[in-house]
Amino acid sequence: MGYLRLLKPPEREAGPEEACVAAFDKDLDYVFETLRRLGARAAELEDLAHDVFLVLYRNWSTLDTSRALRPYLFGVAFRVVCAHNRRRSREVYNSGLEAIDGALGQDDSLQSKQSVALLLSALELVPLPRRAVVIMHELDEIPVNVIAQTLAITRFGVHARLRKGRLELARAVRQLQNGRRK
Amino acid sequence: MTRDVSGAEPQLQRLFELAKEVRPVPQATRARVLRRAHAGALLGPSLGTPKVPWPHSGASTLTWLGGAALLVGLAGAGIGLYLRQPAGLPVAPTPSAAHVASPLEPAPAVNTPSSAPAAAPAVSAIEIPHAARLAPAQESYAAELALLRSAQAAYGNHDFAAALRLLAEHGRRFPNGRLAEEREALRVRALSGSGRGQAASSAAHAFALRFPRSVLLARTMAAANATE
Repeated sequence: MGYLRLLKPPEREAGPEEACVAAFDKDLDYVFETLRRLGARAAELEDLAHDVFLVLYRNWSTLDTSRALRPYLFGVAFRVVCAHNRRRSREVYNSGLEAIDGALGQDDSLQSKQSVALLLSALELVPLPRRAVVIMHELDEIPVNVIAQTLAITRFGVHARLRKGRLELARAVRQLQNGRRK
Repeated sequence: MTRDVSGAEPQLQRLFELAKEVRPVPQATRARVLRRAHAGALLGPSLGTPKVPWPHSGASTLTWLGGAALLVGLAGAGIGLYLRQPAGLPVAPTPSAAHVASPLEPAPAVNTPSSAPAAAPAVSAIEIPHAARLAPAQESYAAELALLRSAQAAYGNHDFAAALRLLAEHGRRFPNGRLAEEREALRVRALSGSGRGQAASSAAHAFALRFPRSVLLARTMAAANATE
């Protein structure tokens, strides 16, 4: 039976696990950014990203991988954050308005980070269902019909949430800026 | 249907443009997350997958199930570790240890070997509550900003020693903070200002390696070269 030793073992093909982890790895930056935009705290990001992965992994076999994965990941992240928020709903979260004080602004990069911090703080003041639509549309540039499909709402619902979300966001930005100047 | 381009306010539009950038996840964090993902994949699809319902539905059931799974998991992992660990051998805490507090989290596997990465963290999660270990993002950002502002003020007053001390404190408290890039750039300039050309040069090279696409890179390298 020594001739069997000459046979090469078959090459190990990348299984669905590897493919799923690779896809997750590819969009990990996006998942983290989305979770951050949806209001997750820095200390929670890794745990929530892992929850997103587990949902992705569970549904990997049924996913149409020829389509863009990001809208799907956003939908999962949105639900994960919703579920997480319900658990911590008793906590009072201080959005730290002093963090966007513009006194430091000597570097352009720092100023842009302050602007991003201002936007993120303002987003936290927008209710999550509308915040999700605003983020998907304005930051991720996802078309309205895909948003509707991802969040399982009508296109009219997307437009309505978008319109109201923008108004709330603009109000929140003004509110934060006024609070900062006082 | 294409994007709805009807006008957001100009200021909002500007903020949206700035916030579109997707920041890269630090390598260490990425490695940690992927390790957990591999471990989660190894456990199989039926184990520990979080149930993520639509908002406003089934919250109490999920909470109850999550709590029960957590209890069973903690107890099982505790028993497993107790039986497998030699007496007196300390259990090293791992970076992913604290995550078990989440009900969405997969329950630590009772029927997997204790060497599996997902099962190991259960013990130290009790010792170090997650929320107690790390400050909320906004608070830490405010603290980062305050430290960096003081460092920049000291740098502006040519008090380079004070600036470097504050930057070192920032580095110790927030090694991968949101303002790490600005901190390292300022450190190069402070080192350069204090006449420590060699240190400034090596700090600049480290900066270039860590932030190769930074908008501050050119200025930072120029500051380091100025003292050489």
